[in-house]
Amino acid sequence: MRAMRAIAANTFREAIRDRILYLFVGFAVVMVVSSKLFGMLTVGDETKIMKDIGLAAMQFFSMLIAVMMSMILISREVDNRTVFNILAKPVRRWQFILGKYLGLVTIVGANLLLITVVLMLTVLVVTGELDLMLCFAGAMTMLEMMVLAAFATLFAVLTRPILGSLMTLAVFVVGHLSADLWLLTRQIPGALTRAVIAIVYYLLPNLERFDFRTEVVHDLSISGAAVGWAVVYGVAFIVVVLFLANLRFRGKDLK
Amino acid sequence: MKGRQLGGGGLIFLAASVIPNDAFEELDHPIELRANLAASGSEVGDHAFDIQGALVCLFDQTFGEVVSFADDALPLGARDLDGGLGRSLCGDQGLLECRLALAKSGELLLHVVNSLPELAAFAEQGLDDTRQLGQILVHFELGVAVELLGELLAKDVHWSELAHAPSPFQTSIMTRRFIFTAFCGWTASRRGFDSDGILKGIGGSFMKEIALSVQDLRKTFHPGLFEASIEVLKGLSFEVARGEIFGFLGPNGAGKTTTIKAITEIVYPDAGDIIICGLPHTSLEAKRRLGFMTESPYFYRHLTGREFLRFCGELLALDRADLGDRIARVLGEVGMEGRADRTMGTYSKGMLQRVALAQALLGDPELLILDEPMSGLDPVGRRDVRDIILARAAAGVTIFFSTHIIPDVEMICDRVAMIVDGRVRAIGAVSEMMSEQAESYEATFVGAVPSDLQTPLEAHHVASGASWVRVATANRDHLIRELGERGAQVVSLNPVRTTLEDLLMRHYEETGS
Repeated sequence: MRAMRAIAANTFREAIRDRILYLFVGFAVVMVVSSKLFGMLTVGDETKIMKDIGLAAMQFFSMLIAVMMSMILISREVDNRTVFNILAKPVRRWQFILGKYLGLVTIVGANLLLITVVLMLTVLVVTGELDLMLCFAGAMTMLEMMVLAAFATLFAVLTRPILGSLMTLAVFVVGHLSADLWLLTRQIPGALTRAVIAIVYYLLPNLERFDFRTEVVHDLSISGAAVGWAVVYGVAFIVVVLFLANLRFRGKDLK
Repeated sequence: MKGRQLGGGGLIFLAASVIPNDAFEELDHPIELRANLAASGSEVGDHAFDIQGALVCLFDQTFGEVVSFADDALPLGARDLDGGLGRSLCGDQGLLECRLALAKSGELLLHVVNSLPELAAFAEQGLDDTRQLGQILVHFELGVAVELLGELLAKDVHWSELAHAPSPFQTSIMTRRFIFTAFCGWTASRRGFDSDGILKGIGGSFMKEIALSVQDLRKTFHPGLFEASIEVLKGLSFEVARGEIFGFLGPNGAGKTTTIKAITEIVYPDAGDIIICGLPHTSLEAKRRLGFMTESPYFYRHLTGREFLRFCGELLALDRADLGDRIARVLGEVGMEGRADRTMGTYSKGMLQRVALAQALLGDPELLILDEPMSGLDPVGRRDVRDIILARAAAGVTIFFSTHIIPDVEMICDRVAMIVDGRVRAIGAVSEMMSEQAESYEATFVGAVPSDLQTPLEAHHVASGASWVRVATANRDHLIRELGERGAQVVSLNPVRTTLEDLLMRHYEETGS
């Protein structure tokens, strides 16, 4: 555990000393703060639009941070051979993978916390109300990012950084369209095609399960069961994907 | 105070130069050894010890441990005659004669030698008549001394070929320990004692204690679907004994780094066994005993040297309470204490090498694996790294380092393995490998003219009254005899050895690499 914690802490420290992180965080904060402007320029409830854009920015930039950082932090260890130094010490490979993952999740979590606080303050300043449901939306986005970070970790040990980034991005996009995939299986003729699409549907996460933006923005009631299932679903995906990442990394020769 | 009667008598030569000044003071052993080292011109001081019958204990800081003979395992007595006891025993008799008489009468004599001439004088006069004499010689200039004794002793003394080290640096801990143990065993077996028990008693198990064992290691890389596989390691085997400095020498692409990566579990071998300090190399305990410095180290740019070492300390699960002190110590050892709080992105290559060495030393490893530790360093850096390696080796750490820089190997290694094309082509003591290949000898002498000699000469030269000749190894003894008959004075006689570079190139060409 101590080695894993050390790797996670080092990953976090490495990230927070990297300029690219601040670029993303800066963009995200600017986007959230300027959501007030978008609200003014758009027809409709200004507050709701502000929250909607703010949450969308939160999700988008968190995704970017998760994808970019996972690729940088894991691939850089291998490319720069700093991983040799770690693995020659009494550290198991799964500890390395989990340590990197936890470090990555800590980075994403810290940034999400920052963006959520900025969004809540923006809403507070504009409307005078403290919307705690934004915290809930932030937490669910965090869960989504944890799933995505697990995929990013898997792709980082499977392939090259750029391809891995693209694949993680693809998981994000397809993950938000997987509900449509499910609908597609009902409408496309041909059993084989339907079976293939169904397999893709089950292999990739349905990230819409973590998206409670509409409910938060429009103050709709949220089902406890939906939240519970989302948590179980997310944790299951994280466990399986990290297991696969570990499986791949365990037998991998590092050059 | 008499030692036990032994069949043929016995001698132990113990050179004072390997005895640390304060070592004897630490002894808490039923031994009486009167060693008036100061009287022999040594600066090591005057210490008194007890010798009680059949027990001998030697302590040497370079051994790193007390090497003792158990009372029932080794029926040897010991006596030093340089001290007052010796003088009282010998009376008016000359010390040399007294020693010889006691040795021949069946007592074991512990003789503290402070100079080679003293050793030579005794050996020349004594050994012909005492063929059953046991010899233990521990001396910094072991190569010279063993060569001398080797000439004097019977040809069947296998260990006489062990070392021809020209400098103290090449007389390593390993070599000294090996000879020490071998002599003890040899002595005991000649007298019909239980040599196994004796070896066990004196810690001779170190010969069986292997710090690193690599057996039949094989590795093939498969670069891609349309590229041919590359067989990098083709059944590589070697062993590194505890306490030795082992050089892993080979050209680029020979498989050195792949071997090291396999040892450190960075790549997975297709076949073969790797044992570190008696443990499978995959075990965490084995890794705790290992310090590793990678080739061309590159570390986290954002961390300071000190932060990085703290990170390494956490990975090694070192005690947090003294981690700071430990870090300060290794930083001092590698000469980085003043620059440890700068981020490593600002470090030069040499500074990175030093930090890399520091992290390898941090856990006080038993086995230090260094991959090209001196490549890219300036002369000062190379000397510093060399000094650190030697200091750690003196503290008992086993050093395994790969290099393609031959002078590094010749300078500090006890043994070397030459690896070419994924196989070990030659392995052995550096001095052995070179001397085994000696094809001729060079002699310098005065009092004879080369053209008058009957011995076939390969080359000769005369300058300033001294003559220089080179003869084939087979003609060496003939030359010495002839020079003696002609009354010539031999100034020097040196083997012309094949260098490691010559050997490496020969193996390299043989493989068609």
